[in-house]
Amino acid sequence: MRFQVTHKLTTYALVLVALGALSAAGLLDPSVATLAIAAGALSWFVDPGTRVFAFATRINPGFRLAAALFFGITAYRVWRHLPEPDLTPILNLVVFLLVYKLFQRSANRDYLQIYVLAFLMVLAGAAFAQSFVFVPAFVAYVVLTTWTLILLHLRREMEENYLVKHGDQGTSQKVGVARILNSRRVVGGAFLLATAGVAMAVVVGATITFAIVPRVGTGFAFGGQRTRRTLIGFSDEVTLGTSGFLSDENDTVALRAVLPRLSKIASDEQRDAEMDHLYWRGTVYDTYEKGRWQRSRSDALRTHIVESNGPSLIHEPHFGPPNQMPVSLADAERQEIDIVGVSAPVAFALDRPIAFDLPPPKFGALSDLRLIPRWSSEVAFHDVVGETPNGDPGNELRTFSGAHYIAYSQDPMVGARANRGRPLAQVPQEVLAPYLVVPTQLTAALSTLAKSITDERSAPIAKVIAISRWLESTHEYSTNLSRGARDRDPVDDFLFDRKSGHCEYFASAAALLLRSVGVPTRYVNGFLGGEWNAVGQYVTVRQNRAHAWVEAYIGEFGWMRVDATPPVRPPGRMGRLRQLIDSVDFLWGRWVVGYDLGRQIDIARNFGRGLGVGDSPSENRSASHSTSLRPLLVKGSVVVALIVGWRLVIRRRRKRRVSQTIAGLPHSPIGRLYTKSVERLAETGYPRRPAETAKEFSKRIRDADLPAASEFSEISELYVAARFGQAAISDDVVTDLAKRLNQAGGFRSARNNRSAA
Amino acid sequence: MATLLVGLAAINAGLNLLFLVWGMMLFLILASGVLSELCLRHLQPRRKAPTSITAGTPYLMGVALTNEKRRLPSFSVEVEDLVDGKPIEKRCYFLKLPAGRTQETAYRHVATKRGRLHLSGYRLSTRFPFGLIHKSKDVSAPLELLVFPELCPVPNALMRGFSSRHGRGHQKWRSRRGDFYGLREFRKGDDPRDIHWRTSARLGAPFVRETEDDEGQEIGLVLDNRMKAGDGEAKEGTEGREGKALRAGADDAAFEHAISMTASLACELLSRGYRVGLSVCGDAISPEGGQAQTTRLLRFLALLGPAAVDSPQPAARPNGASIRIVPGRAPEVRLPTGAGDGTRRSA
Repeated sequence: MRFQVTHKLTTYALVLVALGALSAAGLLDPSVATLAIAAGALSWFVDPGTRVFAFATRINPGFRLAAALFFGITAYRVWRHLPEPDLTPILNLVVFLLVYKLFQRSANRDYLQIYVLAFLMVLAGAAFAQSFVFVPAFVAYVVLTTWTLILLHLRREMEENYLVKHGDQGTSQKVGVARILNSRRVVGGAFLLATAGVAMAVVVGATITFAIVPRVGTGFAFGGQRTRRTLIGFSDEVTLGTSGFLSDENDTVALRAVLPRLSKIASDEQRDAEMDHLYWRGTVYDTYEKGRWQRSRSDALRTHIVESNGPSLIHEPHFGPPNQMPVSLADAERQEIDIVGVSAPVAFALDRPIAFDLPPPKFGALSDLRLIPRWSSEVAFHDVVGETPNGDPGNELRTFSGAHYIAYSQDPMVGARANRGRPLAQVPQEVLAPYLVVPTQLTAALSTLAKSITDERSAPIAKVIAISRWLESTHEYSTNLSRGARDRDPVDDFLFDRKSGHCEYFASAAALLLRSVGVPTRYVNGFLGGEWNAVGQYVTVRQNRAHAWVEAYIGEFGWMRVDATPPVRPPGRMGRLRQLIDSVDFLWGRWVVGYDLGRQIDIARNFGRGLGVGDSPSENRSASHSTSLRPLLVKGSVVVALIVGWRLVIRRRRKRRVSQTIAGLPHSPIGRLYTKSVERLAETGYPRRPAETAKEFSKRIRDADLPAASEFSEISELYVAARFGQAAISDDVVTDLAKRLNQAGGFRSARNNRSAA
Repeated sequence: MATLLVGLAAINAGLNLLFLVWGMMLFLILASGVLSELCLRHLQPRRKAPTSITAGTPYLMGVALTNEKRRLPSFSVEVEDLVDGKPIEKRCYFLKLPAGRTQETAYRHVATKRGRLHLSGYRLSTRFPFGLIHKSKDVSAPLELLVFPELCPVPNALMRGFSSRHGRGHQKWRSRRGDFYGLREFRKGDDPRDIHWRTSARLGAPFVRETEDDEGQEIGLVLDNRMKAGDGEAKEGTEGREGKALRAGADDAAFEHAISMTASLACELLSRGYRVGLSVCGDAISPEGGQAQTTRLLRFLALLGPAAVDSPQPAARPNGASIRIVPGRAPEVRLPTGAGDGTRRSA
């Protein structure tokens, strides 16, 4: 392929990969990406020297003006969102500049600027990418960067160095660089293949750097946590109609969980049925007002966390039976959870979490993830810097980068027993009060409606069933909401007029109706169900499974789950390929995005055990590793030593050969012998004249009839042959000559002859 | 700098993928070092020196580069000659040198002074592959070149009529009375009356007739290479160190000019067919003609240094024509005894 075409092609491929890296991180709007690709494709035909390029050059001031305007708008948009600037306008500006440079590429400087802009895009992609899709983009980027940088360098060098060609006659001539740029002989398939090999070595090196550089410095200089993009909100309040409904729109992974119980189920149908009833409990709210659920933050409702040697136990002291603690985890369902796409520090677990087990603090880490109590049996994560805080435990993480932990749960609806809670009369009134509050403007209407639904039923459980059935039968599930008057309460609107809504409306209505008939309730946000990944043997829960339900306090039965939302078609299951991709993403998240000092230390310890050094928790394990690795290391060392030795021998031989081939040089044996001889002759009164050649001098010495003249003549011949004829004179020949020269008495006798004369 | 910044950002923010990008940058730098090292390995440069180098005149130095690697080509290699370990500012560039191949190029350079030019070796350098690192390697390859003295224009007044004032006869012009010796091509300065018209017409180029009457066409160049001394000491009190240095520089320039004039005269006379000899303090070269004598004289003059001031004055051959060159003075022509008026003439 022609050099110029290769360079252009690799440059465009690099731009495409950079756009891909940015898109993989979800930072580029698909419409912007499409527009950029289309414009880039057009710019392919705008080559210097063409009419189109001349036209593009003419309208360049317009482009520059547009760029300046774009820059101004970007600066304004960034400034407006300070102190938490939005990166999207900046990245859009970078994409715009990239496309602009593609249209204006004429000099090497333009190509260099294109590479810099592409690098910025990959850098942004690396900072925000959460998916393994970044990996192929990164590998392709490394290969293309290697190619483009090499080609750019060669192009620059040939333009700078190939300008003049010197000739024997006349003046120097200019060389047309265009001819070389169109040459097919400069770079070819073998060149690209070899440099791609180099690029792969760079990828390996980058991976090694990634693996071994200690993760000790998070936030040490400027503070701040690693941030993720906010994908779904589980914040301090829930406004009806903003989030938390089931839809197929957002399939971003929220969390992944390994559930041993599900792995043991052989039948796919049975497992799917089980998974449809997985309620992932997240945030809990007790206060409703004007379409918003909030927390009352009452101390009486505060969750208790009991620290133990093992997992941290969770309980509500006012609702549980007096002999609740210690809780046995033997019957609890164990879940190993990875929070992936939730920015709020919510400790998700299957309904009802009773214990959490967080990984131990990382060695050298400046901060440590701990549990803090919220309210209504809810806990959250807190990042502790230095000592354990004894201030306000409600001071939660503002930004959260995900977590990996183990949770234990007991489903309140399975094997419901009368001794799970206290009788309603034994629960303090100040504790129950928040769970029974109904907004004053709704009290009358809701009370009338609830009483008509429950029809004078007295048992709380009967009231729950009646209200749930009524809602399911009289209201429709819909995500297409058309709000009524803005000042009207959404629940009131849902119950009496619109009669359709999604889970938030059903849950809110159920909660308020139950409160109207004296059943304490609370509103819960979380996820429902999940998708089984047969490849990785875990459950993937996506954002489109967000759900809301109600917990009602049924006296001795405790808090029971009430899901008044009619059954709807759940989002589609993953296909086999998607499962595979999700598994890779799971491993990526755990081993790449979540790679930290703790994992590094674990790997180092395992490696150390493999070598038979360091501590080991298990002697057997250590022994097995040491027996497998040691012989391998010994063999490897022997092989390396042999290779090094062989290389040394080869180098030594080569040096000897070189010393023979460059015998014409003064520092070579023959050169040294000749110089020494000439010096001796000068000392004895026969200096070599300035204009005298070696042969002329030799002839003069022969004519002078000096004793060692014949040897010197021989030395001169060899010297001339080596120096001017590039003849190889072996060291043995030189040694023999030096010996003969000494035997002949050297040139001392010449001095004696002269003095005698 | 960019690598450092990305590294700091990765460590500070704890962004794992930034470590990947940082690693890429670090290893690209490492790969750059390794590739440039491979590029410079097993390269064998070789010079193709010109047959003669004259000071002040551009010469073309050929450089051949052989890639002795078995498989790998070398890219973007620059070769510079080293003079006493320092590179001259002339580079030979090789864009691509396939394995086992030799490529040749040349650079144009001007030697500023006569004498020995010590080329100690080569500097092979490259910025391949990314232009990030400039890597170089010095290869020892000593070569000693002789730079002939700078040639300057010979005054026409000095040459005009010079040949008519020596020789066996007393004619004004060069004798044409001898036996026929041969024909040769017309050279600038030949007497047009020597043109052999019939041969010229037949061969289409001017040819002149030469006679055997070359006896007496010997010219001895006498160069007084003694350096003046003592003047400076007399004026040391008033002149100072700077003035002394200036005067020494002027003396050197005069000496060099005298050598240039001698070399120029020798070349001119030899090209006109004279047999030219040279006498300096303590040494002499007997008169000979032809190209070999030109080379001999130029080599001698290239290496000639100043003689002590108390050295005996160089003497011309007693009965021959000679030109005496003394630094700081105009050349003097001395005609043989008994030829013409025997006077001295300077140009």
